[in-house]
Amino acid sequence: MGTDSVESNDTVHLNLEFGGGLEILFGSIKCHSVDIPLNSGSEKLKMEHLLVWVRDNLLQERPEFFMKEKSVRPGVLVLINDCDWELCERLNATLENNDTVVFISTLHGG
Amino acid sequence: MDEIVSEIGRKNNCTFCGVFRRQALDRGAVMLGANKLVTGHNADDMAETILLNLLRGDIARLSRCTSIITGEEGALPRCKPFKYTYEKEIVMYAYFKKLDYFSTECIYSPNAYRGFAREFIKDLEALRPRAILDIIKSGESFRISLDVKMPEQGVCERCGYISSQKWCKACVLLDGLNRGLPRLGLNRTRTSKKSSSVNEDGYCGENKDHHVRPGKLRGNVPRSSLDF
Repeated sequence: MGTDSVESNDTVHLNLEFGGGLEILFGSIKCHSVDIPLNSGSEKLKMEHLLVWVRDNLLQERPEFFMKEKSVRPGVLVLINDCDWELCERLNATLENNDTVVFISTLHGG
Repeated sequence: MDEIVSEIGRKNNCTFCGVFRRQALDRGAVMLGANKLVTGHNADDMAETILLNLLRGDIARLSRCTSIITGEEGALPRCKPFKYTYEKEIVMYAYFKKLDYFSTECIYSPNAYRGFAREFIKDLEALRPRAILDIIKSGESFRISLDVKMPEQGVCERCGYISSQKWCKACVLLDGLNRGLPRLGLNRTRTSKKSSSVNEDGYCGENKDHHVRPGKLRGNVPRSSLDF
């Protein structure tokens, strides 16, 4: 699937989705269309940077429900273009323009 | 549940909810003419339950909780077909098949003991995913020492349903609520020699050693060791 837009040098456009109750932390909005600025000097956006960006810029409450140390809280599933991130290097996976990243929480008390 | 919690406070909520919910399922199923009850307990639930029972020393439950079918001798056997299915698999399946997925969390769950077991197991799974299946395997392999006194199954005097005590757990809890004695039927570690099991799965009549005699209590008087 080719990209529609020319990738700009300093941002990566992504489609983020939050499910399984996680959307509550993001203003109850499930889908977010975002542009992530690349760190100066780095050519590619990695998942670990995306997580930090999401926590610092998109998350509205209770960061401990989304992240634990450098990764997502155990119990949160991550899909990169419908593929389990466990199969693509997890935090080290690189993200391309117009990729879709889905975060689904499996943690439902009760 | 909100009414119950306003009576009993924020602790032991799972006990009440679990017992009454199980009772409602049992009664409702019979009313519908069902002869089997199937629940959606998954591998993560199983591992949590085994760990919880281990932590509480609830040997009776520990011996039963890994059975995929329970209550076969009764009118409504129960089964857990997803016993070996990881919660992750189920969530992925629901996502890709675009199934209606309810993810509302019980508002009282942050105070639940099970939450600690769940957190621990999630950390274990992150390090070694097989751990969940291995915990289940360990639980299935437990054999109970003959020295342990196990409860005998009878019937509840009040409602006639299966119970290991004079009154089943649901009747004890309900009686406590109705008489303004919110602590009735719950753990009292000081007064009994072996602590009784706090019921979380809703299994009727699980009060192991601690037999409650409702008639001898004196209302909302602070409990002392002389009460029993």
